[in-house]
Amino acid sequence: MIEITEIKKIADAARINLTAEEERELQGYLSQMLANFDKLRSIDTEQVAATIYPIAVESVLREDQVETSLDIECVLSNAPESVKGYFRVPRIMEE
Amino acid sequence: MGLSKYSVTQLQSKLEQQQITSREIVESYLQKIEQSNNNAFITVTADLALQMADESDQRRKEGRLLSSWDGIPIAIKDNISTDGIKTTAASKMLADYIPPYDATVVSKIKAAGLPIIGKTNMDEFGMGSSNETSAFGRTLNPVDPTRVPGGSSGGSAAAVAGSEVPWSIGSDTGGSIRQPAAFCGVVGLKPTYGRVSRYGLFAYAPSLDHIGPITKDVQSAAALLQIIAGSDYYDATVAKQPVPDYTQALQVDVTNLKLGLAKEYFAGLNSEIKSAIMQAINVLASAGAEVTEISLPMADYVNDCCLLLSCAEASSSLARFDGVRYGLRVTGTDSVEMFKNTRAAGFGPEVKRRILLGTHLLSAANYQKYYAQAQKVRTLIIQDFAKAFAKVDVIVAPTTPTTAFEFGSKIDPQEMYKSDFYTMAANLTGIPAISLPCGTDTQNLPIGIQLMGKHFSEETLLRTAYTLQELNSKQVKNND
Repeated sequence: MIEITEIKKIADAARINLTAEEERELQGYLSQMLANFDKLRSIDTEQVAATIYPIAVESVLREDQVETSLDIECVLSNAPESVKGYFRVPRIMEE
Repeated sequence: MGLSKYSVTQLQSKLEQQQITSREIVESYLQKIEQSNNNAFITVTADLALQMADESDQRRKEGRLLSSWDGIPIAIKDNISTDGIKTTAASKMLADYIPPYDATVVSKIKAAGLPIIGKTNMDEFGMGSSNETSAFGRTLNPVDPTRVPGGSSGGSAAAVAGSEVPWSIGSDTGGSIRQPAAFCGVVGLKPTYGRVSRYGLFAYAPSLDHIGPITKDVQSAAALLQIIAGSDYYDATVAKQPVPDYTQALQVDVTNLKLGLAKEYFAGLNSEIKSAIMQAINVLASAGAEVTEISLPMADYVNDCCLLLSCAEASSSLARFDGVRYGLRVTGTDSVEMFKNTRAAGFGPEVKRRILLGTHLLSAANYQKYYAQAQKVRTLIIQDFAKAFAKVDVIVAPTTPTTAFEFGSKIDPQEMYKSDFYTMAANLTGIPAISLPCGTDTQNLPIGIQLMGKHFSEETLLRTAYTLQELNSKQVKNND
């Protein structure tokens, strides 16, 4: 069973606050899902290349020309808080 | 019922013969939506739809139609961006989000002259198989209101099945077009990966996401695919293959078509579903198709492989929802606290589960063991299907292990994930797959049959599906 301390680390990495009850539920869920996924680990994939996309894709290039994009007004139209053309957010603390 | 009983083809014909107007069609569907309790729609765009209908009628008068389906209204799943129309992904996170641009499929739909009647309900961010995770309430299955319509495109499927709209657009990451189509008794097509641009679709798992049609019949699925398929400047993963005329595929002809039945799919299958599928196979065999048994040895690994990859990708795709640029913001003493508070309040439980699982799978300690391994297992699954398609043209399978289940009957997330058992392979491999109705069980619940083909073989799939549909309906007519 995954430890609660591990769950807290995952929640921190995912930037989601969890209640104590949610943490406990997740212990069960994550442990069970990983146990299922462990079945995949026994498959021999030594000589197998990874699939990233299911069809062949190549990098798509374009001419290095300036093109129009969204108006600033559109970009800010859903902003919870904006000022002078910027998104405004609470201060960013340095660790 | 009014005009809502007509198929797309019938509406097209009546418009052409000027027996009805686009406005009358839209008004009829708006009335049906108003009278419905199904909660298939999150947003109904009545004024817009009527305005677009009037424009269509004007174009028709002036002989400058945009397409042969000009004026036939459509509904769009609420994870696809519509300029100026609220698009929520059925999440509190985006409850008031209004996109400032159209998804490419929406641009194409507008360019064909289809009035947009509304945005359909869904499982939150596409994560679910029953429409029960929506933050805007459950959608009822029109066939039986005590049962789920399936998910995550449950609203799109229910709206078509309930005649609230003649056709709709859904998305499919593990079965989310095909499974609700099967549960509601309509047609659902997941095209080949890259056949339809994903620009403007809220990403859940970018290597598994697809957009496709949900319709009443195979011919309108072909027509809608025609409208939305094609290359796109804004999607780097879109295919460059030219788009054929899919309506040419609508022939009753399966002579010498090789159908494959995977023994792994039929072992332990619900007997009523098995019986309906075997009956459909017999119909196709009688019409000249050859039936071969094939094997898909990796079948038991498909679900776990798809879930693992989709949760990992989801943790990345949904990282953008942080309260900064759009959507919900729950503030905090600093930005990090704001991210954590916002995401705690904005996401529902299933979305949180999958993001956290995905985050854990991508951590340094787990990446090689799980994620990298799953990417390789994906290759083996693709090889399974490639070997099968060396022998057969179309793989026939059930769409779902059960018919529509009751609300609240799958509380354990893992029970819910099993509903996509037969559909996830087509997402991992990118192959096209269509589900169409092939009968009902003893409770009168629809059963879906799934046809899968090689990459870019939508024409073969549509021809096979059309043949089955037409032969079955001829049979029903003969029996009456």
